[in-house]
Amino acid sequence: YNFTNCDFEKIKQKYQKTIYDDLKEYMNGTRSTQFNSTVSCNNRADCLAAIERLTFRPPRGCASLAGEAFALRTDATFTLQCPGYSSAQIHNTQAAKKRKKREVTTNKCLEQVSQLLGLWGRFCRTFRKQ
Amino acid sequence: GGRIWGVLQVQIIWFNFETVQVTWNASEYPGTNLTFLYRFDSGDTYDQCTNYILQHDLTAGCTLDAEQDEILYFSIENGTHPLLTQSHWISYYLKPGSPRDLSFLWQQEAVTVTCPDLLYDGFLYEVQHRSTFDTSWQSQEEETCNVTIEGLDTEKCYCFRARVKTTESSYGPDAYPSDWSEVTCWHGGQPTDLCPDKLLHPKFTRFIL
Repeated sequence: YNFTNCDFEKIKQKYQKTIYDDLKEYMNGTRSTQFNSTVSCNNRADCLAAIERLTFRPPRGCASLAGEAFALRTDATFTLQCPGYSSAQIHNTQAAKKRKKREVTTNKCLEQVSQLLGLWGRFCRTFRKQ
Repeated sequence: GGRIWGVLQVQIIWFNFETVQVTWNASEYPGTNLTFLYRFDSGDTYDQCTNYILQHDLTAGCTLDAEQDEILYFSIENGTHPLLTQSHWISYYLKPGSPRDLSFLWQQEAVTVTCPDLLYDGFLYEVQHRSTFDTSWQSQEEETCNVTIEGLDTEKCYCFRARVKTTESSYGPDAYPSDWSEVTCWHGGQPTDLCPDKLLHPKFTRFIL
């Protein structure tokens, strides 16, 4: 999916109002700077694509993040602010929603979420003063 | 604030979107010239530092030109043996420049302090003020460099200073606030070099006989 036509300003506001707190809560006191930053992005669409990839396709050693609060909110935000974005087709998010039980937070998952914080931060830093 | 990774205490500072300074405390390796290798793209090969910071004639840091918001990949080595290999967004260690060109607009008992905003979002502009009767600075901050402070007593002399702070959602928890701007003082809506010593409040006047 190409994120070029999303409403970036609204996505940034949603991130700063809610998704950021969800990500911090998931980190549960672990500082994101405790992990190496390994995933980079350069512009808004690029950052959102990387965020979507890391949110819904976690690495080996981290079962799933899709059912976490930040993922559900990210999914809802993309669905609302990105024309033609439909998560159900893209990564079967419905299955994740049914799994109410919270996944085990492994160190691999913490590292993944610290990468997400890096990508979301980079996304926010693309916004210049009006 | 430095961070301890492995046996080396490393501090990273990205000065005002211009240069990155990485310094290390190599007390564990006395008399050793450690080597600093770096790159800004994970696909590139490492380059060695060309601008070392020396302490007692031994390498203690490296200064790099860096104007892009990127991930810094670096390795600090003893000979060819890597002691520490890390990669971090340099924005996580940004220290913005102090606010400049502050201007003050007085209107009765309020003043609006403005200055040029930095190019990007994600900052807070903090203005502090105090009168000669205040024991500490009082703070106010906004998302743009346009801060109005109300409830000021036109009879009193006030001093002001400002700085830029990063927001955690954009710059992470370890970024630095800027240094404070110069202090500027005002009395009766006019600039003054400094505020006169505290005028004894009539109630506390003491008479020496």
